[in-house]
Formats: sequence, structure tokens, C-alpha cells
Amino acid sequence: MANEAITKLETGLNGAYLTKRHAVLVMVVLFAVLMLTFIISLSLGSEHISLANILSGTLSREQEVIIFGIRLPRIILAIGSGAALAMAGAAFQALLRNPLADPYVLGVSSGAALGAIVGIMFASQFSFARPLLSFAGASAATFVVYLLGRRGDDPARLILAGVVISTLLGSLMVLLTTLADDLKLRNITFWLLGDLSSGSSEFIAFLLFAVAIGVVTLFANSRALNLMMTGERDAFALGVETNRVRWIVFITASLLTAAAVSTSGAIGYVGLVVPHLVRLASGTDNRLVIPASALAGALLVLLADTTARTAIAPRELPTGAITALIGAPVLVYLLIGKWKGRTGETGTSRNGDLGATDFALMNSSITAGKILLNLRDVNFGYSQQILSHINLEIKAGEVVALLGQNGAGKSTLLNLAAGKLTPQSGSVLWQEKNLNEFSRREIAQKIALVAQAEELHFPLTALEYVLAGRFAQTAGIGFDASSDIEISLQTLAATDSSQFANRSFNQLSSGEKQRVVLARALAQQPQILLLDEPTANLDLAHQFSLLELVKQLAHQHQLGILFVTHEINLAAEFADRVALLKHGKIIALGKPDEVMTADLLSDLFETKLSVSLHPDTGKPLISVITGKINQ
Amino acid sequence: MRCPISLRPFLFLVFLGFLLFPSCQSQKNQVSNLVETQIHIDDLGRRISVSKSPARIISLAPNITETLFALGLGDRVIGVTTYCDFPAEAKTKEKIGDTIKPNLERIIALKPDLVLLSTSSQLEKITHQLDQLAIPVYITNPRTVTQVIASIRKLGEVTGTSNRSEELAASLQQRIHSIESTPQHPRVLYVLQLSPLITAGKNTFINDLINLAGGTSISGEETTDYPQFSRETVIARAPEVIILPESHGSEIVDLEAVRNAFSTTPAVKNNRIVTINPDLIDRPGPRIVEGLAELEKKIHGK
Repeated sequence: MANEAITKLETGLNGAYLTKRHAVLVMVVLFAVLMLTFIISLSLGSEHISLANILSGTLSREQEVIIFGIRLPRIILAIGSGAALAMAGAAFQALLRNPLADPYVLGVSSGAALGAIVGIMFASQFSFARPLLSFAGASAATFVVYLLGRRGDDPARLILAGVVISTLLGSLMVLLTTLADDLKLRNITFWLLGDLSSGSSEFIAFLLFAVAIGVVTLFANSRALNLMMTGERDAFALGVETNRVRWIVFITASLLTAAAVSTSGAIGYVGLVVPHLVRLASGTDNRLVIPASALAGALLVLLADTTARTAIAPRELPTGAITALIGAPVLVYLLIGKWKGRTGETGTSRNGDLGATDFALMNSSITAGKILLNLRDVNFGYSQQILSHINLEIKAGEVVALLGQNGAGKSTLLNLAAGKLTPQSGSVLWQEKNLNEFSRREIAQKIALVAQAEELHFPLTALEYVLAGRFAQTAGIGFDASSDIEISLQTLAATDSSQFANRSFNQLSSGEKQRVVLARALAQQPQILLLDEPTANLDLAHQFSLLELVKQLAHQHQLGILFVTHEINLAAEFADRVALLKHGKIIALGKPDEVMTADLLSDLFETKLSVSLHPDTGKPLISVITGKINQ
Repeated sequence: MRCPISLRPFLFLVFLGFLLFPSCQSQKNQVSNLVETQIHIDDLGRRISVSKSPARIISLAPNITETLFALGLGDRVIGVTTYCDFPAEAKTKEKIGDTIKPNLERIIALKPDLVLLSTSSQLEKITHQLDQLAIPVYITNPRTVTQVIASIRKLGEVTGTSNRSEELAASLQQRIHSIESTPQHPRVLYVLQLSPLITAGKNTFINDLINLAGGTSISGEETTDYPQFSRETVIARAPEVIILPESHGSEIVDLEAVRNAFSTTPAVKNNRIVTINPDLIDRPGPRIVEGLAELEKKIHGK
């Protein structure tokens, strides 16, 4: 039944995820258009030189200079700076999880401009001072904006920090220009208008070098960026070395911005508008968005610059003004318009009927009862002790429920077990080896953490979301293999979410999201599932079916499961063992009928509870007696 | 449109200001009654009542300062701008800010009986404020060499030194005549800025000077004053002389970069890239004639 659904789905998966074929097609088309524009723009200019003459090489000495000394370097500079700015924009947007991030909005360009101005004013005798200082300025500005904006998880904060820093840097620029003499002031003013007409070969080489580094580095990290886009917490849990990726992408994007700004001056909006257009056309996957933005950005700046030098020839327009003219309306459109969510077929949910777990994705070679993860005398706290002397084993084929009041330390315990936190004393061992000796990727291959879904700022489809779970099991670079798609579709089917595959994740209800999050965790093919209130947003039918699935995963496929829940009756029903956590200590650990006694539970929840036996299953059945304990 | 509450007190103050306005008017009458005055009409067509022999003059532009000193009025100048660096004595005068942002308070405190201004648009507000305080502001706005000569005559009239100004104007006119007749008209490129290329259009001072000096600017048909110009067109129009401004010996435009950019032009091939002190060609004052003479020499390779 599940396979049938998958086959049916695969045919209707258009746009649900990025195929290599689609990516290559888009790139080839963009490249062809860019090359065509390149050739045409080579023949356009204030002086008429026919394309036939250029191609046949029958040019006068003057025409040769015009074509190869003036037009060609300018066209290359336009292509280079457009590619650099658009890629930097795409990278910043993914990294900062904000579709409005852009080198200009974030103050990075202002930093680069200030650096360049300092270069013009105080070190004009060194030709490399300008790009170097520009890069330093861009990096410093990005760093400060990031520091100011990262606290709290609100991407608007970053934009705000960017605006603040931009304004500050703008004032510094004004201050510096006030101190500059006439000559330098003129230099600075014209440079700030954006100028592609005077790129020396060193500058062009520097820019192309930066673009080459940018393409390679960003593409290599694009799959990790896909995960970062869904939230750093999730990306970390899915096996991304978030710190490393963040810094690499950050520095690369700053380098690109600095290279573009220092060689071409201020050319605005490219970094903002181009990645958006690419996303509107081809989805949010950075493996396409980044290289396609490079080509589309090159195309946009080339078109703008060709217009700039031909529209009112022999006079010229500032190129930056034209990109802004194109960019501003697009920005307004993006701000007031809504994302066109890629809505696919919206099949009806077969309520409660979760798929079978007979998919070939689970590692069943492990024998039941084997200790997978061992928390030994774990202590953890910040200013205050949160967990003390925790001893807990997670065994293959066993479901452990973790019960406790709010603030008892349940989530901290899960994060320790997932390797997101390191204990202050004691150890978290994976089969006798310390968990923090493994890389993030290795951990994500073993342990999947299922938490509440973070809000996405980009319209990923549910399938793309689940595919992120495949990160740790693959090379982390390149496109998804058909096996990755297969497994992702199977896990979607297993969580009764097949019908969401090509729907935008953000458009799902919170209960539907929860199931897709679980599907993503299963796509990791983990040996341990750590679930943080997995049933919180689910209706009754899905609560049961989800836990039924979890139990099946444990009992049939030997997964080790630890789940935090407030549904004590569900815990009693589905858990093999129950751990009671109170004020950071495990006060009881054992089989439900041993641990879930009226006394222990009443103590745990500081509420008077009664425990009877379920008439059908014989499991403990807990109900609340009104009134406080001991009164 | 509704007025935000926070603006109301501010608007009230503005309203109060209007109520107090007539008191300024009466002050004007008092001042004009004290000394013998004459009515002049300046380059913007404003009617100004100026003392017949103004003794406390403030100049808000370097070309005016140069003209005043050339007219022998150095002693009567009590304030100049930071840009006024010629003649050397001008530097000893009190600075009242630059041409774009003069310090209004300082101007008022100096109690001038004449303020001279060269460009009007940016200083409209200051002119208005000085008008209200009955401090006469005379605006000159010469756009061509001919107009410079005329403006020198007018400044003479306003400052009561007509004799001197007639003399100066006549001698300048004579020098101009001696320059104005050359058979050849070399093609000239004036480079104000190289990256991007900025040159001078039709209605600029430098274009007038190039024409008077017997050259033809390759950008002389452009209607924009200082257009960003196509490098290709420069190559195609093959200038025979390239003129760059220089500033006290230091290059404003990198000479080597100009050579590289326009290597195929006759100007570069024949090494006819010349520099000129921009003060001589930018300031519509008496030294313009010196600038013209120098340009003529440089354009014709004398």
C-alpha cells in the first residue's frame, strides 16, 4: 500500500524537490542567455562596430582598442561583480534565514565602502590598499551586525542591526569626506556612484579570483546551507557543523561583497533581487539558488551596464542607478506581495492510518537490548544545577518515556543525549565511546532529535524538508540520489504525510508539521530517536498512531527511543520503561507498572493522582484527584 | 491631512515667528535711513539698496575675493571663505565658512554693509535671512568669459570703484582680443575625472575657454554641464590635446592612467597631455584671462 502511494507520488513530484536535471537545465539556459548577452553587448556601445567585424576580426586599431581595451574589461567587470553580489546575497539570505538579507541591507557594502574610502584617503599610493581595506571593512561590518543581530532568534533583529550599522558607517563616511580635500572628495564621490569603466587588469583578476573561490566554497556548502535555512538548531542536530559552515559562508560572502564593491563601487539591489527571482522561478534549494544567482546576477549587471553605456551615448549613466531602478520595484513587490507557495495536490489525510514500517531504511542488524547510549553520572548546569547524577541507558528496541514537570530538566537531558550539550561531569557514551569524540555528521547518523518545528522563512516543500534528514548519510555535497528521494518518500509515507510532499512546509498545520519533522528524523536512518513532546500538536488519532509507529520502530527495527511527554497515559501505554525526573534528578526508573504508582507520580507532579489499571491493556491508568497533595 | 500631535508645539513656534516678523521689517528701514544708498539690480534681477561706498564687505566666493582685491578693495574686505586663497593677503582675512556652508551668525556679527555671492541656488536660504536683516546681498552669476568681464564692471559699480573696474575690464578685454584668432582648432578632451570619465559640456566655463583659446572640445555639444562620458567615443573622436586639472603640483587625474586609457589618440601618441591650474579656469574672476592665455599656449603647443 505504501509503495503504491510512493509510485503515485513520484509521478506528481514536479517541483517538490530539486532534481539534478532541473538544476543543470536552469544553469545551461542561464549560461546560454548570458553568453548571448555577452556577445551582443560586445557589439553595442556609443561607437557602432558591427558584430560581423568583431567576429571576423577585421577591426581598425581604434576599434580594437574600443572592443578589447574598453568594452571587454567592462563587460567582464560587470559579469564578475554581478555574480559576486548576487551570490553573496543568496548566501547571506540562507545563512541568516532572512529573505531580506543583502550586502547593502546588512551594512556589509557600507563597511566595504568605508574601507575603500579610507584607502582612497590615506593610502592611495598603494593600489592594493583599496580592495584590502574594502575587504576588512566588509568583514568587520558583517561581524558586528552578526554579533548585534544574532541574539534572539528573530531575523528582523539582524536587519535592524544592519540598518543601524549602515547608518553609522554612512555617517562615518560623511565625516571622512568632510575632512577630505577637493581632489579626494571628487574621487570618492564618483567611486561611490559605481563605476565599471575603469577596471584595471589587477582588479579584474582579483574579482574573478574572488568569484571563483565564492562559487566553489558556497556550492560546497550549499547543502549545509539548505539545512541552516531551516534553523541552526535543526541543522546542528542533522549533522551540520553549524559553526564552521557559518564562518566559512560568512567570510566567503564578505569577500565577494568586498571584491565587487572595491572594484566596481556601489551597485545596489543585485544581492537582494537576484536570489529572490531565482527562488521564485526554481525553488529554494541553495544548490541551484547559489550558482544560478551567480549567472543571473552577472546577467542583470551586464544588462544594466550595457544600458548605462548605450542609452544616452556618448554620455553614460551610473550603472548602480540602473540596477537600483530595476531592483527597487522588485523589492517593493517582494515586500508587499506574498510568496507564491508551491502548492501541489492536497490529498486528504487518511486519518490516523500511518504507513507500515517495512521500508528498507532501518538498520535491523542490531540485537535488541544492546546498550546504544549510556548517560553515566551526568551533571549539568549553568549558574544553577539543572541535572545531577543522571544515569540512564538507551537500549536498542526499547521505548523509554521521560516524565517530569516543566523545568525539571527534560529538554536539557535530551540535548545532552543528542550531543548538543556536553556534561560538566560524568559522560555520555555511545557504545563505550564518548559522544563528543564523534563529528556532528557521525552523531546525526546515529541519533535523531525531534523537536517542535522551527518557523521557516523560505518556502521549502515538505519533501525538501525531509530530504534535509539525508544530509548526514550522504556526502553533504552534490544532488540527492534517487535512493535519498526514495527513503524520504518512504518516511513521509510512514508518518502519513505523503500527500504533503510537494506542499510548502509553512502551509501545513502544526500537527502535520510534527509528522513531517518525524519523517525527517527517520530519513536520518538513526539508531536512536529522541523525541521532545512528539504528540504535542497532534489530534488524538495521530497521537496514538505516531506512538504506535514509534513503538513499531523500536520493537521491529531495534531503534532506541527516548521521548519526553506530558501525556502520562500515553507513556504508560507505549513505554517499555519510564524515567521520572524531578528537579534534575531521576527519582525512579523502571517498567511502567513498577514506576507509575500513585505515590511516585503524585510526588513527581505535586498533584494528587490516582492510578488504576486499564481494563483492556492492564497498563497503569492515571487520573487527577482535585486538590493539592498532603492536604 | 491631519497634523501629528507631536508637531503641534513646533508649528505654534513657527506661527509665533510669523507674528514677530514685522519687527525685522522696521529694522530694515532704520538701517537704510542712516547712510546714503544706491539701488542696484544683481544678476538674478533682485533690487538691492547698497551704501554708495561700502566699507565692510564679505565675499562668499573665491572669484569675488579675487575681483575685489584686483579692484584694490582688499582693505574693505572683512570676511572671506576658506576657499579664498588668492591673492596671498586674502588668506589673512577672517574665514566665515566655505562657499556652500557660510556661518550665518558670524556674517551677522561682522555687521557687513555688503555681502557678495557668486552662485545663488545653494544659498537661497541665507540670502533670504540676510535680506530680512537688511544686510544687502548682491549676487553675481557669470556663465561665460564675456559675462565675467561684465560682472567685474558691475562689481565696480556696486562697490563704488567704477573707474578701477572699467580699467581692469578694458585691459582684460584687450588680452582676450589678442588671443581670439587662431586658424586651427585642435580637438580637445578635458578630463575632470577619469574613473568614471567626467568631462565638460556645452554650457560650462571651460568649454567657453577652450573655444576662446582656439580649440574644439570633443564633448562641446553635450547639454549636461559635466557629463559622464563614453571612453569609446573619446577613442573614436581622437582628441589631439588632453587637458587635465592639476592641484598645486599634485595630479588630480592619474596621468599614467589617462595615457593607458586613451593610448590610441593623437594626444597620447604625440605626448600632448597638458595640465592646468584649475583655479585659473574654474573661477570666474580676473585671473580667467591668465587661464585663457595659458590654455591657448597649451592647446596650440606653444
